[in-house]
Amino acid sequence: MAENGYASLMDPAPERAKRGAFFFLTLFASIVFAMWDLARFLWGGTGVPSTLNMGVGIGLTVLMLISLVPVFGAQRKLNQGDDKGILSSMGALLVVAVIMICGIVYSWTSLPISSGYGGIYDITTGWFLLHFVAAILAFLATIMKGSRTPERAKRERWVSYNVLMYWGGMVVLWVVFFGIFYLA
Amino acid sequence: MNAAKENLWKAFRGLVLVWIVGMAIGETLIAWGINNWPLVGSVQARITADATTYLMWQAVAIYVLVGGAIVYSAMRFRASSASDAVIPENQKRTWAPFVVTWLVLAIGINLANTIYPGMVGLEQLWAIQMDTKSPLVVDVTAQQWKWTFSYPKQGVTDVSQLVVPEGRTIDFVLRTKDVMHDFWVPAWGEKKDVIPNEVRHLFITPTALGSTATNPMLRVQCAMICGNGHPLMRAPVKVVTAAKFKTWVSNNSF
Amino acid sequence: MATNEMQAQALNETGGGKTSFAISMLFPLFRATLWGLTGYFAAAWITAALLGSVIVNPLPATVGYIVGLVGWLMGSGLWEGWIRRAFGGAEAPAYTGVERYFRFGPDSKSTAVRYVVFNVVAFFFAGLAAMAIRVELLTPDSTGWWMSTIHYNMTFGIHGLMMLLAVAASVIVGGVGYYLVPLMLGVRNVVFPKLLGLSWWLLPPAAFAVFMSPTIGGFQTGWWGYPPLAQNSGSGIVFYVLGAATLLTASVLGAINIAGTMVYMRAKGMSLGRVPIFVWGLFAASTILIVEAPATFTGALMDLSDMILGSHFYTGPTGHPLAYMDQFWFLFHPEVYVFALPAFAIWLEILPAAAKRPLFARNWAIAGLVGVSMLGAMLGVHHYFTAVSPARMPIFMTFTETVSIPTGFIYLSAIGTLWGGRLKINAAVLLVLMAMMNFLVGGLTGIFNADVPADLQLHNTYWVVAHFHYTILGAVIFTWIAALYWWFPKVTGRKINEFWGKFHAWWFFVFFNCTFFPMFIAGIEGMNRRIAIYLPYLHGINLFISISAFLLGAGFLIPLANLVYSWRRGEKAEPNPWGSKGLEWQIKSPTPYIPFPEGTEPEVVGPNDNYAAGSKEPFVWVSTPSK
Repeated sequence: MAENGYASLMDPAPERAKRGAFFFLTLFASIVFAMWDLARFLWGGTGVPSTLNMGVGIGLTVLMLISLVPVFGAQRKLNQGDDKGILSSMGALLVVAVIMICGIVYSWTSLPISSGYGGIYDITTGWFLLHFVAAILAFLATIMKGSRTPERAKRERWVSYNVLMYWGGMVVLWVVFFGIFYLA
Repeated sequence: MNAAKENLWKAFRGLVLVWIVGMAIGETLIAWGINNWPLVGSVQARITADATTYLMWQAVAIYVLVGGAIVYSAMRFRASSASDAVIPENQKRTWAPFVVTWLVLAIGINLANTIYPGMVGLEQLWAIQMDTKSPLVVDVTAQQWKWTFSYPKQGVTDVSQLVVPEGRTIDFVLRTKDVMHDFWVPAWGEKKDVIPNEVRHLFITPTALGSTATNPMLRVQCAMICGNGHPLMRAPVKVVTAAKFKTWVSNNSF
Repeated sequence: MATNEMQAQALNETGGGKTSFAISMLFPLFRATLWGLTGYFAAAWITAALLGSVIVNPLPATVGYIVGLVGWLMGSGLWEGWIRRAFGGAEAPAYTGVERYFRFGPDSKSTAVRYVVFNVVAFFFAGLAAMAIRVELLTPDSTGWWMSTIHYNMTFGIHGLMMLLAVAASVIVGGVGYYLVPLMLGVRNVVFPKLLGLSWWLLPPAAFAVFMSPTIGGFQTGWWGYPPLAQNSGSGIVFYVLGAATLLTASVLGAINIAGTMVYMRAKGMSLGRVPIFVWGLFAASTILIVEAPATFTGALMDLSDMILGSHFYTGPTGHPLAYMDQFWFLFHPEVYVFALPAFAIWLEILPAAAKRPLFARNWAIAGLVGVSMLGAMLGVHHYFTAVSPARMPIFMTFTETVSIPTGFIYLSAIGTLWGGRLKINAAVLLVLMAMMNFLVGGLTGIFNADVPADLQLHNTYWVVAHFHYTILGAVIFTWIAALYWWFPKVTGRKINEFWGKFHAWWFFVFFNCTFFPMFIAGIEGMNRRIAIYLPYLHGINLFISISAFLLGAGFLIPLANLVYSWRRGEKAEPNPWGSKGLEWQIKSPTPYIPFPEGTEPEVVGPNDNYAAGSKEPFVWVSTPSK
């Protein structure tokens, strides 16, 4: 398939710029989560309701931390220039994201949105859910692009880097969320 | 080089003249405006009006200094025509005396303004509140779209007109039944938002006798958008002497 | 001049497709509209059917809006242009001709032109809303034959939100900024071209939804959306919240591009000190959006959640309406710096070229732009001094007053540039000078609102209305038109009509001041904001304001006609009509699709404002080293 000749000329950012500027996007997203985290104390008080399922919370957090293994593995493969090798890691992360969504929806059942803590918990996890959906789409895109058009994936390696960066950021945000909503 | 320098100093003399004339005109207009100030009907309004008028004198002075410099230099240093290709001699990138003067003035005016009228005005407003031993308590209830007033110690409840004595500090206790409102009597120089789930206090010491009929600045006016009845969410105000207030209370209490 | 020698280089092969306009090029627009509307109605109707409610209820409207937005985006070409390709599908052809203006694409120049068109249309409709407001205020009573108080409240809400988020937020950042940032930095495109392309396509559905909010019940809150009024005065608030959130998202996507391009993609030799001042202004504005938009963004979503999901963040006996004010103003005060900082930077970009002097005290000007953006995060509370506890008053009064110091640096720099220069006053420069005079009034009257004692009386009166119109209409919009005139030859290769440009500049200046200066007096005399009905003693002044406002409003047709006529028939401009040393003027005008050909790139070898006789050119073209 012929790629259009102008595309690379009119998208002149080098990999360094693409990966660096992605920081601004993650900064914005992180501050949104910081707002939810701060809001938890205004609306949720300092206690944790008894209906909060601690087991599920711990389980999801451990899962997120374990998911760093494929992230770092894929990052190393990318550094070595192995664009095909990251696809299995991406698949594993996709499964993690699906499990996270199920876990979030399950924990909603015990926390009504009309209560103080429930309201801020539900809206924060709802926002996480949206990000997990976005992550699933990103993983799917990476896998499909990598297997259907490996040449393009190789040329646009920054996309894979940024997808991994995105997930890494999600792990950090989830751990902070766990600390604030479950432990504090 | 020397000629160019002299030229700029000569230009500066013209600017000083513009400043003097502009200052005279501007401050005269402000003096006239302040002379025609609307009713200042309470001790608090005196404080806020003093702050406002002080800032006006100052704003006009700064406007003349800065705006005069812009207009004057744009006219004095304009090109002779659209095809003028002369490159000006003055290519200085900075000139320390100007920058330093600007910095000192900017920081100085800011500090001064924070102290007066800012902090001084606030301290005066707070002092009235702290020093009042036994204020007249008036419960104000806001709802879409009317005001009701109660005088708990006097036994007057739920009147729709605000009648207050002159010269006594009043503690307005502000509550709302539904959305946000804002209690404001324009002549009293202060307003306070009335916020759901919270109780707010506004301390006012009326000094001017009168009523809404004699001066529309004396009216309770909601100053926070609260729905379609917002513009008509007003209540009449009557400031009377202490003796007349007593009579009014005895006529209206149970 | 060396500039023109560079212009003579053979750049023709990069001019893009030479197609002329054909009606079939509107297909993506048509498809986007169709998919958007179908998506909206289908999703809203299905949701309503499932819930047993009607489609004008808040929840169906929300679902409809989201589905409609996705439909619109897909129809606009996002699917072929980005998503299909991202999943390994077929590549879209390169749209390099006229057709690129009518579909989603990565070209920053056509995106910027679309921004101008969008801003003009939004300004027109939001301006009509302003005219409607002034008709209502011709008489003190409720002008029943014209509109009810309910409609009046909807009208000023739409006017405010549209003028701020669909006009002021993107006039200079969008139309002018996205066009010039790559050219000024010496690159062919921004860092995330598709993200920038996406940012424009978010605007029309958001603006359309806000304008259409009366059809589902409108909103009474003005552009603030304060709860709990928001939740109990009409479902239209859903479109307000979603529209505002979408417009904010578009701003943030642009901000990420500006910041990323400035940090990572400057031309060879362009140290931070040599970055054009306009890019500095945009960068300062972008940092505000990236860091502070989240607070307001979450506030909007929580407001919406209270409306449709039954949470009680701001409503009910446990709600905290004050928290909404904190979140809302955390961005929306600095948001005015997002409007104003690029405008300041435009003054400082135009004045040196017009006065043939280097930018005076350039480092102070940069410090001013960045300083305002940094202080801006700390002073939103002055918008509700009447609601906060006394402890917060002195703190935020001090911060707010401090912001005038870095703002002053802009004036320091501008006056120093004018002094001793040879200023060529064309229509653009005239508008810049007028904007400076107007902003001076706006800035100085802002001190009254920063000062707590004065603000307690002036808050929420017409004083405030006058103050922010001086800063936004008087400074930002004046500067926008100045920028359109100044860079018009860059975009179209033609000049605007100078006579009509200057004529309407004076028209604006006179009637702008006649409209808004009396509002200061009305405010002092006790006229509060957002009222359809006022007391008869304020009639005279309002009559005067209304008539001036009609003349001011009618005057905006002059620049519109001037721009449209000059675009088709205007006098042909030489490549660098103002003799500017800016890098953007070194590139052929109108800018080719590919601004400079493969294998060449500019290198910065000196300051871009050195106008001294015989000074060397600040840029040279070098060949790109092969990898």
